[in-house]
Amino acid sequence: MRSFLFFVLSCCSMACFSQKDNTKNAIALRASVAKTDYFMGFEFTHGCAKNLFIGQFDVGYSRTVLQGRFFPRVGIGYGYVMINRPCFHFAPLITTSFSSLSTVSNGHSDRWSETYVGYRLTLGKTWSVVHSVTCGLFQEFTYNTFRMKYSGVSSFGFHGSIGVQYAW
Amino acid sequence: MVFTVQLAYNMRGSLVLLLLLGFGCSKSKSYEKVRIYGHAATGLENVASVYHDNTIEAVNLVLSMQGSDGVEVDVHLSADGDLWLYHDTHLESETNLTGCIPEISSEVLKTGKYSSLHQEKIARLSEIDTNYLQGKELILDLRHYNECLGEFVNVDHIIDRLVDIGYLSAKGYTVLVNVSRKEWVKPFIEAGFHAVLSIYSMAEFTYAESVYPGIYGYIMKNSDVTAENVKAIQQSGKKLFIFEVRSPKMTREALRKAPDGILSDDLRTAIIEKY
Repeated sequence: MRSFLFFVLSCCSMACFSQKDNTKNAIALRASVAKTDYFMGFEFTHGCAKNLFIGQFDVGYSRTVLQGRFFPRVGIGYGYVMINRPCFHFAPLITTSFSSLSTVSNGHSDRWSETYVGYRLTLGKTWSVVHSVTCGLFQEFTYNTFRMKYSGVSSFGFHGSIGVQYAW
Repeated sequence: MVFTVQLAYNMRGSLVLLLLLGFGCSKSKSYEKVRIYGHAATGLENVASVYHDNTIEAVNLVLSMQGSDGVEVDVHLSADGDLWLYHDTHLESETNLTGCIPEISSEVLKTGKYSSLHQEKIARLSEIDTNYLQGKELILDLRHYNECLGEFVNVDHIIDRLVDIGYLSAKGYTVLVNVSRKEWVKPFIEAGFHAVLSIYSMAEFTYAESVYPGIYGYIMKNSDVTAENVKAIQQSGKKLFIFEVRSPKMTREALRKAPDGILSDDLRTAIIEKY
C-alpha cells in the first residue's frame, strides 16, 4: 500500500512540474479526531495545478499532553481538486500516517499506521476553513510482553478534522 | 524588527501558559499499588479497541500489554454446563445466534461469531491461555440469571466447571470470582474461591461483612464510592475494585480513591494515568 502511495505521489509530482507555475502553498491549524485520540496540529499543503500535496503533524492531547505523554502523529497525503470555485475547493484525498505512544514510561511504545481515503474541502480564499474526513485501514502494533515482540492487528479506522488555513 | 519584538511581547502570555501546562503535566502522586484490569477485556463500547469485548483475541491482547495487571471477563453457563464468555443477555444483540446462553448447548455456541469486523468466535472460558495469565489476575463476572427462561442459574454447576478448568488450584495467577447475587457468596467461599461481591452502597458492605466474613473483596461503581468508603473497606481487610472507568477524567478520579484495582474500559488511558 505504501509503495502504491509513493508511486502515485511520484507520478503526480512529475505531472505537476511539467506544468506552468501556478503553485499555491497553505498552512492550517487544525483539530482532529481519530480512533486513537483527539489531536491538535498543523497541515501544510502544496498545491500544484489540481494536485494537492499534504504534510501533517499532530499531537494527541486527551490522553497524552494532560497526562505527561507525547503522542505524535505524522502523515502525508495527496488530493486532487475536483471542484475548484473561487471560494470553495473539494478534493478526494488519500493519506497515510504513523503515530506512536508510550503508555509505560521507558517501555516499548504502541504504534499505529493508518491509510485512509476520503475528502477534503476548503471554504474561503486567503483565509479559509478547511475540513477533511477520511477512513480506511487502521493497523495497531503493540508490544506483546509474553512473546517479547511486536504484534500487529488490522482494523477499520477514521480521521476527521477541521481547521483554519492561510494560503499564499 | 519592531514587528518581531512586538509579536514576541504579545506572545508572552501564551509562552507562560505553555510552560505552566508543561509543569502541570508532571504527576506528583504514585498509584503503584492500584492494579489495572481490562474491563470485559478491551472495554465495553470502546471505539479505539481493535477486538470485540470478551473474546480470546481481546483477552490475550490485554494480558500481553505492558502495565496491565489482569483481565475481567463476563461468564455465562451454557445448557450443557460449560462456561462461555459473553457480556449481554441476548446473543442476537452481538452475534449470529439467538437466545440466551443458559438455554443453548455448546455445540451451537461454538458456531457463534460476533458481528464485528474480525468476526471473532464466542469463546469458552477454558480457552484462555494460562501462559498469558502468569503473574496476573483473572476476574470472572459470573452471570446468575437466565432471562430467557426467567430462572436462576445453578451455582453448583458453575463451581464444578471452574474446578474442572483448574481455577481452584491455579498456579502462577489468581482467579477472583465476582458475583452479584448475595446467595452465591457462601458456596464460592466454601468451595475455596476468592469471592468478590458487587455492591452499590456502604450499607450493603456492612451487611455483607456481618454475613460473609470470609469474603475476599467488593466491586463498586466509580460513581457510587468515595475515597473514605475505599479506606473503610480496606481497613476491614478486604479488597475493593472500581468499575465504570472510561475517560481520562474518570480514571484520575478512580486512581485518587486508591482502590486495590480498577476495571478500565480504556486500558491504555488507565495505564498512562497510573504510570
